[in-house]
Amino acid sequence: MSEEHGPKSNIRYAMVIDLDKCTGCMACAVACQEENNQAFYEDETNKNRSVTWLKVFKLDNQKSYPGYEEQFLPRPCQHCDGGHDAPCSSVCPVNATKRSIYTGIVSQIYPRCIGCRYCMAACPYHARYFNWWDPDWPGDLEKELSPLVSTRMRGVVEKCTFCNHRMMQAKNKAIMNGEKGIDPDDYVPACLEACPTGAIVFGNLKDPDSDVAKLSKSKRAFRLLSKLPTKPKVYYLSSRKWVRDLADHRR
Amino acid sequence: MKLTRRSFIKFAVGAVGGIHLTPLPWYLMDDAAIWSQNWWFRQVPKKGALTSATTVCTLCPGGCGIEAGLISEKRAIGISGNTSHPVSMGAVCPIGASGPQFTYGLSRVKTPLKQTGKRGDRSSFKKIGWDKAIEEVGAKLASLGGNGERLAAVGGARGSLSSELFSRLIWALGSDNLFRVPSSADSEELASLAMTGVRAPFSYDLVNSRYVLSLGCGVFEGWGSPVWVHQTLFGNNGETRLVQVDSRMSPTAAAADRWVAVEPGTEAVFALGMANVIVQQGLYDRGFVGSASGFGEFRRYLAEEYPLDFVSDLCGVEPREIVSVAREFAGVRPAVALWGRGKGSMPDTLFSAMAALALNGLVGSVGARGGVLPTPQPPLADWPDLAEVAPSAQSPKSYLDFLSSIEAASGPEVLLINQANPAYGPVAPALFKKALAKVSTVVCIGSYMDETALSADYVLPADAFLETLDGAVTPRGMPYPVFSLVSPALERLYDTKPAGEIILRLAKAAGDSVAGGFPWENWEEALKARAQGIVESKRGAVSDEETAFAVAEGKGVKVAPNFGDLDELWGKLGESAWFDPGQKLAVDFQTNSGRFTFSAAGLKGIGLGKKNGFPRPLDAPLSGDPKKFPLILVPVELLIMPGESLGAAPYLVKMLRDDQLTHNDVYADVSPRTAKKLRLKQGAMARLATPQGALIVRVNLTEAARPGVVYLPVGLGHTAYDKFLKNKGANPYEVLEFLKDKETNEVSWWGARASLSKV
Amino acid sequence: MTSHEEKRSDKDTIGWILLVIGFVGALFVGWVIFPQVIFSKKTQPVNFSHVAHAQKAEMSCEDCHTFNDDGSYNGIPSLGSCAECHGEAQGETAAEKKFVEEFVAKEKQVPWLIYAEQPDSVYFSHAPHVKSAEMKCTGCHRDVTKESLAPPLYVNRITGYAKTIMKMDVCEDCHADKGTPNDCFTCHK
Repeated sequence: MSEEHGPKSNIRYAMVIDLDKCTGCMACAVACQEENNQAFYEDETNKNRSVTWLKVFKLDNQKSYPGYEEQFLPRPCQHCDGGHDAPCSSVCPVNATKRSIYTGIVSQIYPRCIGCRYCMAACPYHARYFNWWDPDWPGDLEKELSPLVSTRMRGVVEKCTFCNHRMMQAKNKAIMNGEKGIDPDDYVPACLEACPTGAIVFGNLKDPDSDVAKLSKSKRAFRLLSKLPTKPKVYYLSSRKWVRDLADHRR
Repeated sequence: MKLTRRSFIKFAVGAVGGIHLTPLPWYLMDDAAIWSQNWWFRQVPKKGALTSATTVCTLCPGGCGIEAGLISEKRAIGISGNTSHPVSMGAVCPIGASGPQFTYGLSRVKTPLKQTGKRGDRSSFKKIGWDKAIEEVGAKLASLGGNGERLAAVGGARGSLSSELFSRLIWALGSDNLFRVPSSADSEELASLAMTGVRAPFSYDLVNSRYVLSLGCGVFEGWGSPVWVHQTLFGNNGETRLVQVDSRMSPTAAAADRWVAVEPGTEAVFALGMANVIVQQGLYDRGFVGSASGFGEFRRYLAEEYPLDFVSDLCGVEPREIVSVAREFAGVRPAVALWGRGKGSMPDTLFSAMAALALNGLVGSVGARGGVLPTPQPPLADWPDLAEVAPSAQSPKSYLDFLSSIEAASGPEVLLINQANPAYGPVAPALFKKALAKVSTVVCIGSYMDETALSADYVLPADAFLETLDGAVTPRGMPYPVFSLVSPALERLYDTKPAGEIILRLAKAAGDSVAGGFPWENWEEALKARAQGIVESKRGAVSDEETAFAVAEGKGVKVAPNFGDLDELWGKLGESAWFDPGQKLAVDFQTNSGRFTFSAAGLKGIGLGKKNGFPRPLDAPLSGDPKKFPLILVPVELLIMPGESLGAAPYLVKMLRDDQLTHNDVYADVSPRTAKKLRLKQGAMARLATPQGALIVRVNLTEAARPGVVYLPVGLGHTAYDKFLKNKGANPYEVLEFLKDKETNEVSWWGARASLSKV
Repeated sequence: MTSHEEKRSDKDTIGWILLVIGFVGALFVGWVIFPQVIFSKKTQPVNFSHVAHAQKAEMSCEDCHTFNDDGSYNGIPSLGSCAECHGEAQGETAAEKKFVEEFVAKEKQVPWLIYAEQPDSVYFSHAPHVKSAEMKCTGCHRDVTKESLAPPLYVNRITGYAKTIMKMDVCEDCHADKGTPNDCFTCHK
């Protein structure tokens, strides 16, 4: 397993999303946009061109009214932890995306990216987005740009970073307080912070006392496309069987 | 010496050879690569120290405490919840999360404007200074000479002290032509007045409810105070059972434990059907009902008007399902039935609100733990009584009648609009626009160049989100009194003022008789005058994190005032809200009998309630020939689309799914069965016609839709605002039917008869 | 030798001389002129004397270059910190007079030029370097203790970066030597 989880690291950041608590309110998705300087354009209706690091999908049980049921599924980057790097990072020809051996977070370095989109083809979760245009914050909207996250340019790929910059802030704080590790309360992604129902849980999967470690072993837990060897670090919880089945294309 | 070609080549070879032994080419290559990474037009976020400021969200009446992430205390880069605020406890909704885009939006009005050309012409707005704007509008108001008929006003959402100041200004000017954007709260107030004697909208002790029956409420779609509702219903790990009565598989129905699919518009009838079952099977709370009055008559009314088969037919629900829900509802204590369609802002009839309240009464959930109660107000001090004009008309005037009368005859000379957008919706925007032509001066107080501001003569720009100063009272649905101070978290961007300050200045400029009722130096002083009441009440406390969470978890919390004087309270209100979670839920019934009453007789005191018993559903059903308009159009309020007085921010429009908006075309949800009959395929363009008008939409086939019903989202179809919102989709308010509740004169809208045909 | 041959050998010599001239000229351009031309020279809006502050006023570095409680680093202090002492001019230098009149009095932040400004895509934090690794300031920055005149800032005309900027290879090498993380997200955002 050491090969799978990288050398020596006892940190694997992971997320658990309880779909039974998700109402599809979109607070997480919007908070993610605002936090990470994601671009917006006049027409965002072509969803293959629209940048949404955390996308909320609507699933249904394919039955007729009134037997019909719906379930919302927020999908950040799954930060795959499979043996041979993440599917996206192993195919990058220029090392613009790598999975950290220390945290398991899959990164993306915009100035390095050449826009070949090989990673997008490799990602089975469609969690990567290409900038088809130059992002533009017209007028005073430029004032909302956060310096904690760099802006992108046309022709590069971007994706969810588990709010890596918040981890760096938490690290700084830990250093100031003379602590060795990060206080879990200090490193909270923006989506989790926004969620009004507490559906999102985040933490270190390798810490057996963490909520994510416990919840990932729940009977309701599943991962997306678990038949693939991608080993996502995002777990979902649902008490609905059809949702769990759908996650692996079992109908 | 002659320079030959040959020698030149030698020179060049030497130069090229030499240059490669210098850093020049290699540095240039590197520099060029870096240059290509940083195009000059790429916007780079400006650096600065990360700070934060707490305030209260003004984007909906939910009143959430928020924390704005700031750079160098100057720019807002993100919004998160204020963990010590009792309304949000650290979370936000999508509208709040997109907050900075409302401050920095492209549609902000930056200075006072005066229309010098034709109304609606953007280019002929002329910038004028504040002094001149206030002087000119004030003079117009003064020239009315206290003749109220010559003035009319439309006010926005309730819940803020600036909107109360606005009402005060209109009353002081001697007018009772004051209309608020109609809301479910209007009929709830009257239902509560009739049945409990307390005139206030409904609030719910959701934290302690174990069974929540939602009668068509968009519980997770913006109903009540959205973040608080989400938190309380999920706060106890799914112990609360949520049942959604709704015609479609809404996000609320999807998250609920049970969904009861009914015909649209019959939720209140369903409630009375349930009530009938509960009464007939003797499942009601004998203690509570025994101490109430009018039960015998109510029982007869139910038996005669709402027999099971009739309700089953009307609602399209199997009788056994009604019985099963009724038994569940009566079997779990405490159980509560929620009222208020959509976000709780869709106005409905007195009948509907009373049906919901009566159902709660039957199971003893009025003024009890886990039940419903009239919204408790914070103990604010009243502003001094107005000397000349008493607050007019306890019984509301009909907004529809008013618009029709202007259109037919002559209009008022001045129309004042405060933080509302009646030219867009929600009630009869077309009629409003027609009526506008008869008004000589239209003055609009608001932050954005919306449809109404565009057609105004004067636009007085109000501070926007994060900039303004205001007071917010108990948000919709909360069971304990709350008072929040909306304090500026940012320096204002433009030449704007808080809405309250604008209103105060107008009052001072409107002649001595009016100015006398507004003795405060500035808006802050007027707010402090109200807050003084809290100091004197010696009740409640300014919340902190521990108390807020304890209350949210349903623990009994006793708080003691943590402020000695106004200054201390004011200082603390900058951090969190004042609330009084210890206030008992019991209702002090103020009806004639002093008891809970199952009838509308109590409304006679204010000239309403023509019949003694329970009012009937609307006497006028939806108009139009069912053969020509075989479908029912139902508007759908989405959590990501703010109310009618606010256009959605770019990030919110971006969140619309591709089965909701494609390019500029909005989708109407239709059942595949209905679409098949109409020969409409997925994505087809269709003409959605109602007796009131027609819109062009695309159809989205989904099993979430009830056959025979068309669902269209509201919040789109703007003709104003910026390129991110303008001309996208269609505005259902333009084709909905606005009915007048005969009991109360209030407007009600929830649908229209409709037809759908391919174009 | 015929005159024809003589001519040819002359030509050859001139050709070879030109080649050498070209070669030496290119070296000169590449080593001497280019480094001067590629950078534009900018001077600070107001002169800042480290000597005056450290020696005359006996201030320590940490009086101005401070860490915040959250571990972020203040870098150059904001106007507010400067104004604590310079509400009014303390001495008689022209620079201070200009500073007080143009910035403090008008409450305008000084647009200091930053010698070590990293691009937007770079994340750098002082805390792990100074607090954890206990590196000295002069390990990366110039020694300012004897500076009474703030040096000009040379900015690359093509890239827009300062001449004094530290590039990625320096960071990488040191991180590799010290065995500290070298993941992309260690230094990028």
